[in-house]
Amino acid sequence: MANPAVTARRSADGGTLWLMRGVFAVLTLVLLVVQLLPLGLLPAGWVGPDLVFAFALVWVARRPDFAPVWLLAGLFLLADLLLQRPPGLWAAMALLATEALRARAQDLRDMVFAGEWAIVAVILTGFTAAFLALWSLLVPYDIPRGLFALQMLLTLAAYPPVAGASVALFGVTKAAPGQTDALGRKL
Amino acid sequence: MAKERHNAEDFARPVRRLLTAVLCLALMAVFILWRIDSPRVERLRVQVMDTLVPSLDWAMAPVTGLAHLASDFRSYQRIFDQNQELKRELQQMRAWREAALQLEQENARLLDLNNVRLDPKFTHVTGVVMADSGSPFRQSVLINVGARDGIRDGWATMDGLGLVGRISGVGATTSRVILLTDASSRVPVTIQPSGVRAILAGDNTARPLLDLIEDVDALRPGDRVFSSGAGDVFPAGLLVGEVVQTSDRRLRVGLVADYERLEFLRVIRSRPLEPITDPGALIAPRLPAAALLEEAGDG
Repeated sequence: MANPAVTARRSADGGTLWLMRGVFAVLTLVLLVVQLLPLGLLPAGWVGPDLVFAFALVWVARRPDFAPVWLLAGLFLLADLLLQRPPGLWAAMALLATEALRARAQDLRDMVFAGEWAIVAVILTGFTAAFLALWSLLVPYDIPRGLFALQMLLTLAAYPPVAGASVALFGVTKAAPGQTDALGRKL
Repeated sequence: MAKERHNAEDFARPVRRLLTAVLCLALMAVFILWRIDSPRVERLRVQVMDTLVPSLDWAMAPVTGLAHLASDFRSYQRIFDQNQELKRELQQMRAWREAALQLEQENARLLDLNNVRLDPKFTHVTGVVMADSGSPFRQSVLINVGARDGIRDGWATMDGLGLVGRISGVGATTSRVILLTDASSRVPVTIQPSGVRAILAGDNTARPLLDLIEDVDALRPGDRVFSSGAGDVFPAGLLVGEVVQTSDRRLRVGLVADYERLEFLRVIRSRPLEPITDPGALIAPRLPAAALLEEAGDG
């Protein structure tokens, strides 16, 4: 039997849950809009990290319930549409990647940060290889492979700061042992 | 303890897995639909942009403005150097202006002598750049004029000086311009003074590549590149840039359009040439319909 006081303090009630889901959706939209701003229109020759993906990975690893699979699917498809990618391919692959991470979210809780990061690294590597392979099979035009791989590497590099920002700005920490959701189920 | 947890969630897990599978399949279905019927899905994409981006304009405009302000501010730091440089350039420009005026007068005189009528078909619609492609792998911008303003797919767009790209995707109030630097951009060009034809192929770098050059030896760095009317892609004679040779000895084009700061774009209205489809109808007498049909059958 858990200590009721602790349970009460820590239980994320329904309102908070939906609030945080909304925060995640708005955050993703803001990141997309920032990418759409017409600032430098010369081809850069370099890329930044894919922050939408980085935030999705962090939130799924830390609090899977704040970034449910249906929300991710919708946001990823929207990202594909807005960013002129072939609609659906990146979204489906990214969804598989985040789901792979979600399946390990349980084990991540007891891990130090380096372990979490290593697992994300493995998943991102698999994602990159599979995505590039599928792209060359299915999409009629080329993507700069080196640049894409570099982007994924930078996304991995951005994982710790993004995790830090998620904790600092949105309080997305790993669920503590014994924390329950609105229905009293363990998280 | 962990085991206990898993037992408690046994009922939720298969449902979640099924949901994930269904969503993944749905996304792949969208992708496959895009592969099969790309225009339809692209139209959907244009509609999404068309509804979403203008409604975000209030948020994007100030941020873009601030960013431009910041870059302007940075340029103030170099203002003294710039001032000196400008004075020097102004001096040179005065000389050029004099030459240009004389040439203009001469040109007007010659045109008058020849009774030449300049092509009246170039009118334009001006649009404001609202958003870019958002991805480092595609080079395009979204402008705030669309089908409502009579924009059509395939029209050329310029900034004040040079060619910028072509319209590809028209929504009701927005349209997308694929820039010359995009990897999918191919534009037929003529290089003056040699008159050599080539294809300007974007490759995601700031300077697109000259490809399929008729006669490489005739080109010199510094030659001026214009659009050619070949293939009815663009109206002929729009300035694109000048030939540059990179360190790997490939010929590229330095674009004259200021890609650093595209704010207003001109969409050039171009009407396709009227095709001549009815040979022989000029001289022959009018035939009855039956005879015409018969003739068609013979042919």
